[in-house]
Amino acid sequence: MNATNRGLNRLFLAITGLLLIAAGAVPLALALVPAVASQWRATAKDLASGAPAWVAQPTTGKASALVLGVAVVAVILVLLLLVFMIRRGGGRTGAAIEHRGESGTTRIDLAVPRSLLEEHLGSRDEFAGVRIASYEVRGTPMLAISARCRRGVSPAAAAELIGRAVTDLERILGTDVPTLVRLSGGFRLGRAPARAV
Amino acid sequence: MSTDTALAKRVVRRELHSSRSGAAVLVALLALIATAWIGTESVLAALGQPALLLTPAAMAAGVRGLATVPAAGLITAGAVLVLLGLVLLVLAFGPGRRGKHVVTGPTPTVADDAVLASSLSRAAADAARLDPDRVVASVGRRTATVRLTPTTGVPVDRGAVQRAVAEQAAALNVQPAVRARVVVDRKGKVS
Repeated sequence: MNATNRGLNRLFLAITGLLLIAAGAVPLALALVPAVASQWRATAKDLASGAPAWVAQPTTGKASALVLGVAVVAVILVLLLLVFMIRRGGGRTGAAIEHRGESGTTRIDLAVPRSLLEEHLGSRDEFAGVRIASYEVRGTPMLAISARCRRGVSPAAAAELIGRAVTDLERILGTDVPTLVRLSGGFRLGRAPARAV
Repeated sequence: MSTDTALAKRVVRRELHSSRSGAAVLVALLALIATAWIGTESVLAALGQPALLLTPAAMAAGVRGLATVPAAGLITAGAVLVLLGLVLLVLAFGPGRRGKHVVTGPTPTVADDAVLASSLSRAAADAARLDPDRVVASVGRRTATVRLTPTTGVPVDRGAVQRAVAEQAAALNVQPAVRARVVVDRKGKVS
């Protein structure tokens, strides 16, 4: 539930995929279609003997205008790719609730639900660990409760348990708390330790 | 309960599908290395410095000479590139489902398939009076398989286990619902 732009990820993969297919089609056509190969050879010969000045004549050092253009484009692309790679994840907030009213904004810090829920749910045998975070989804904070279930715990029972805890929290805070529950765990976590009575 | 339904739908959908961040970052990194190399060679050429691997002029000559490369090499290179491109297209347009189910209820809840499997195998182990380690379950989108290894000489009541597992599968309350199949290993184990 972080703020990663997933559409952009898929668009980027699609564009790169199409570019790779186009790049692969060139050698395939050269090998399989004789007309393409002979045309390629003819053009190559023309270019080698009489290329336009901006391709062949060095303007700076040994680089022609074309090479300088390529360098500029490469720098821009590198920057864009860096921005694309860095801008993922994010969206976490320190607020659990934020109400914007006419008279001002009411904000409840994440620490409040965190201490209430972690204390309440962390002591249950069903869970080996509970983590509370808050993400901003479309402008409103949303609580993410991630619980690691012990072996054999029914997800329906776990969901109900956490749902009840959230209802209690809402009663204490006197407001709705948008929540997403994530249940993980299962096999790798043993059953709750037996306790002597 | 209280979570706005449009919001809940959105976060649950994002939870159930891969973000494709890993693939996108990997491809971006490779593209970045390639463009950085071409950019560096161009700048080195402009400064009149020796090239790292190839000068821009040598790259251009290579492209011009492509038609003289033997056909086998061209076909291999082309096929590899097209295949890689197809893999990326599948990543871009495939659903990218993760092994998770939605637990229906008032609070939007998403559970890993391992949690469902663990819960089913516990029901099977209890019904068969077996050690939980003797039961393995795997959960797909709509089906689950529970596999029991009985203790040698102690028969397992397959019908009872099947009933218990079906009951538990219904009680999981997940979307899409899973139908469980019980397999009892022919050969038992000495405990």
